[in-house]
Amino acid sequence: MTSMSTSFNALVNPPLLVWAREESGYPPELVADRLKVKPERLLAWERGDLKPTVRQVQLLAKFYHRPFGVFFLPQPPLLPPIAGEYRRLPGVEPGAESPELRLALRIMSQRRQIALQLLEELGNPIAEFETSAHLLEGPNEVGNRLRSLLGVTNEEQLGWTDEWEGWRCWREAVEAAGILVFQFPKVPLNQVRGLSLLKFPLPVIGINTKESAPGARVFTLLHELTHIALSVGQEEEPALGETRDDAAWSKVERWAEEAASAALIPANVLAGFLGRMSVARGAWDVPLVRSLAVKFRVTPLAMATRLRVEGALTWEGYDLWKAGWAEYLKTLKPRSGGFASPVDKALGRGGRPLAQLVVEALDANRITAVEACRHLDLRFEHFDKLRAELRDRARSTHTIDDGE
Amino acid sequence: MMANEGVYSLDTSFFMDWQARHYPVDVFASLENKIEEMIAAGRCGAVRLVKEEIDSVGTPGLRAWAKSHSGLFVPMTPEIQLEGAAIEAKYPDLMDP
Repeated sequence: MTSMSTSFNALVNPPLLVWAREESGYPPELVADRLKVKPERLLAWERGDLKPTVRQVQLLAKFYHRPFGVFFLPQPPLLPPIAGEYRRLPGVEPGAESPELRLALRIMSQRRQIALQLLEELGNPIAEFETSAHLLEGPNEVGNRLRSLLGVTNEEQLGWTDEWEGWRCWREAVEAAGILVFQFPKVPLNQVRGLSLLKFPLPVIGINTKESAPGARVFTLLHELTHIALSVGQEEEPALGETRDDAAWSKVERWAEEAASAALIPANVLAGFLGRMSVARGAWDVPLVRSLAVKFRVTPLAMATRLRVEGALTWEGYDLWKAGWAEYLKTLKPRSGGFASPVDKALGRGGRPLAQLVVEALDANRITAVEACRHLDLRFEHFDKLRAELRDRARSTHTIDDGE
Repeated sequence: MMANEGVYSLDTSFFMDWQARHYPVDVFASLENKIEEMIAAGRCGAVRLVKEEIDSVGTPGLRAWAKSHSGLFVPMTPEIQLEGAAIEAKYPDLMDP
């Protein structure tokens, strides 16, 4: 017994216990294990045969990421399925997402709702993302259009000091185009590297923070941007409404990869480098591709893909290069990580536009300090530093921007 | 006397606005004294969930203050739970689930 409150039973509404668990995607056994009770006891709570203590309901609320009060509602809330928001993701069955992914999706959807509410509350205009893409177009054409929309110049890109600077600049450009960019933790990379919420206005791009290389995050960002443009062009629907078979969907994914690659590495600039390097089609090895990738602040894999698309690498050469690249990766030490302050993490997770809105709304007394802290998952003592960070956009290029 | 004067139920925003935002205790010492008097007279209280929320979002000074005033925070008795549930039933849109 940790406090007096643990001795009281919680007068919860049992169907809410079932609703919260099922919405989170957890089986009873896993939840029971987390609460250190037998599954039969958890199921008895859910049937209403037994009552959990207040402390146990607090633990459930924390585990399910729901407010404590939700378990006292007269009936479960009617929420639309989350698969009606996110784009189709290879290997993810709508309605059967992992608990980690469901939580990440729900948090990003909530952040979008918060942003919309605050924009309305503050009387700020809502940016509209209206750039469309169509599958009958060439990926190069669409890539160029997206790059032009983002306004990243060749000189600017080639002048970045490292991949982190590239990541921040691409992210800010996408945000300025009317898209919220969030980062989400705790979802294995083999489930999803990135995703989009195809909701308008203010669609969302989510980047998995387990993607350690900033260049890889940039590629995912542009890949998702392409999917959003396809959605604007009515070429794709949220996962729940997508009817293409796996083979047809793979073609869409490949097309989006090529368009993203074209946006990141413009053909004319690449041609200039290739002319000066004079590498034979079969001679691209890991060091050569790395040396070219670093100029564009992209990953070597993205560069190799681009070289293949541009015909500088044959398919056979590309496959050989990928095998060599996989061997090279095995020789690398695991990422050591870096120190990220609470403010860095908050900005990494939710992005500057959301943080700016929350601070503005707080300072205008439109939201409480508690709401501001909750919206950004940041203690109040860090808000002065957050304000300073938002004023000073020229940040260190070596800041780890993890959001974890 | 308590019933006539009423008892204030304090939420986390009260503490944040008081100590962390508008009236820091090192500047507005008399306000803290008055609230201390009200606590001593049993004229205000907060459920323990408030203390946990303060621990989660509050400033170091507020967290320390809450720790040193643990008697202010009362357990979630069945009566309090029923009152809370009645408010939720009356205002179903109050909470974002």
